[in-house]
Amino acid sequence: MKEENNKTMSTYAKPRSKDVEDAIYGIALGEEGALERLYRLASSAIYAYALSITKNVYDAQDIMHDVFVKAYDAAPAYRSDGKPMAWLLTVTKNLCYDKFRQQSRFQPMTEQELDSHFASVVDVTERLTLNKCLFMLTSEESSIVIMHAVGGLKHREIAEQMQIPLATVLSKYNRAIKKLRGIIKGDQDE
Amino acid sequence: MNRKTEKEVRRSFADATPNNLETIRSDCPARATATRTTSTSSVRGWKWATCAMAIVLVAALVCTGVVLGVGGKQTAVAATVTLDVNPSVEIKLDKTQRVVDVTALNSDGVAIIGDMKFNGCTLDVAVYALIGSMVTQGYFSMSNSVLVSVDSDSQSMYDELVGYVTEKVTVTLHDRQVQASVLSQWIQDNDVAKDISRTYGISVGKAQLITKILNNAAEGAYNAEQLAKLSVNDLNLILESLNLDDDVLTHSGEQASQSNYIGRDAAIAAALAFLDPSLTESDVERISCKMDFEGGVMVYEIEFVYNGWEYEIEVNARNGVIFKHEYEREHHIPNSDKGELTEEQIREIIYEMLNIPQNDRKWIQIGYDPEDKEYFAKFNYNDTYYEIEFDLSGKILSFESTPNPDSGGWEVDSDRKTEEEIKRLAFDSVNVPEQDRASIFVKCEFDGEYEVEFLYGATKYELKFYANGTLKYICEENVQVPPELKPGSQTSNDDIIQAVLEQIKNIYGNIDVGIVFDLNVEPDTENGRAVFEVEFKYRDGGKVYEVECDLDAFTLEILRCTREIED
Repeated sequence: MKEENNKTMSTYAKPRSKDVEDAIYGIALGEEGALERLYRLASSAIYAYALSITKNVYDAQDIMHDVFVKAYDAAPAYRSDGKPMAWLLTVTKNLCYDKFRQQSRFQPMTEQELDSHFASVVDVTERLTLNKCLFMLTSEESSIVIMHAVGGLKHREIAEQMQIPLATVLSKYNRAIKKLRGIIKGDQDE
Repeated sequence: MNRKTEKEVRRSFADATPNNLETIRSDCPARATATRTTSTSSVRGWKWATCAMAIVLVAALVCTGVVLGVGGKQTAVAATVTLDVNPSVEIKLDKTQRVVDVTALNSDGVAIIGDMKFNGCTLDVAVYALIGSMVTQGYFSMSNSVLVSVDSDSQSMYDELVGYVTEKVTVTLHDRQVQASVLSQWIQDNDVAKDISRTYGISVGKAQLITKILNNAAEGAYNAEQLAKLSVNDLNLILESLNLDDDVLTHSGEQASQSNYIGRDAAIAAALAFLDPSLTESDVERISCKMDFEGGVMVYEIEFVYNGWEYEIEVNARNGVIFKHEYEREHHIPNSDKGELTEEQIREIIYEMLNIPQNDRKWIQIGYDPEDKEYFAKFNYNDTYYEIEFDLSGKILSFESTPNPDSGGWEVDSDRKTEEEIKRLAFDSVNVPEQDRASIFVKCEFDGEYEVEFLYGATKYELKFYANGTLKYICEENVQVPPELKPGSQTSNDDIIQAVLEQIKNIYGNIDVGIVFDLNVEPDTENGRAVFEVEFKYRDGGKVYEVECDLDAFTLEILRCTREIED
């Protein structure tokens, strides 16, 4: 089974907190390859989260770049709390907000534009999943799904991050996944 | 099944994530060895490259007839969220809670939105940017209140949105060291609120909040026009004083900020100093302080008991000036926990004392005099009229019985003072000098008790006396005084009617003072302004005209005037 995608360098597995923290410490110590390790572990979650907020691939790419540069700068001051992905996603959200303030707008792409952009994603189900996750779920639902499924955050961490009750996160997550599954199945059946 | 979908989500985003590592690496200065060089040109390089790709892509899609661009089609609005601070902005959302449009509902809102474009962005981005812009422009330097109003047909969407936006507002303000006080409400279909919104050019959400205050405050305490001019923070302060328990309007976070005002401690200090400069909070009992809105200004309403009197003092919330001053005898209520008897127990004592058989016992009215802390009963039984007084322990203080049943009744007017005596007592009570008394208009009415009203200097006085001349209540209300007029200067009826006739001659022609009859002048206040209410009649050409005017009490300028032909 293929475990990694060399083109995107992103891992298909949920990032483990321990691995992410190791990479951050490696960066702080100047270890060669540490930044690449962090990138492999966290880039898809950061990109997906930024994309879910901006709906613009260029803005999301800019923000992902800035998150890694910021994480690199801040790595020596990083203190372990066992939630490195939550930290990275908070940085992502704040940079999204800052970017909006700086440029006074996002220019969200349409479903067709994004689909065209993701032409490189050859798997039809994957492309469908991407689009539906970004366009058919509410922004809160897509944030929760991305944080858990891609970023590997525990539901409890998401509840802390979004400052909503754990029960709400669980119910919203299950509802969103069910909705996504139904939409994808429906589209495939057509 | 969840895991499979989860995995698909993960794989799809992993495959979609661009490889940007080299650009990032080039922007991260090497640590320790400093072997890598830094450059920003490569960032710009990929940005240009991706932009160029985008242009090519867009061109290609346009050529193939694909419709592109945000706003290419009208998106249905599923819910509306309004944020009111003083700036008011409305966020329209589609069914996925993406922003369709943000519009300003007042001129402050226009400045807040500036050139930001929100179409298609998420609700949290919009809230963050809008609240952040309000902070930057200083709207939270003196306040911390935000009104979140959600208009949605669906209860579940309302619940979801209101919680989400409230949290975003709270967090955004917290990040900027503002402890938010968030009021949130579900917009109801309310014609009164819509009417207020249209009339005063405010959001429907703010109008609904005003309607709520009007419905829950004492009748006539506020009016919509005054409330519409207040900020959400001031409305929040008024709501706090009303202690509403409501399922449509909810409050979260801190109390409304009072930093625009002198604060509770300073207000209490001003109120106590007005009474006696040496008084402190510990010298008085049952003190309370709440904010209110009176005569167009925010005030602190301070109540306390001191030396057997209950005081209510209103202090201008901005400058600490005493706005209104009212006091009455402490209304003592018998307390059975302290062994003080109840009315029912006094009634039982009477039944037993007069040996009234069970089947002959009728309900007897028991009165209570809080000033002397005495019960009294006046009633007829077996052709005898009784008057009995008790102290709170049930001890008889006086007992009278007369064989004439016709002498019964609750009011005994034998010691009732005359109006002239009451007016003198009123002047004495507020220390009006002898030489000023003759020129003061005094309104004195008797309805079981005397009610006396007059204006003296910068103060309007209202006093109540029991029929026997015992002072029951005093209210002193400050009124606006032009600086050139000193307290104590008064005006006669002649001055007033001459001033009126002079001012209305351009409208109604010359009216000689000699044909004026039924002249009546009464001092009053309108929104804290001292006025004379003037009514008179005159005959002209076989008709009788009735004129009513309100005059500024100090400048004698006519504020309002009507004339009717008498039937």
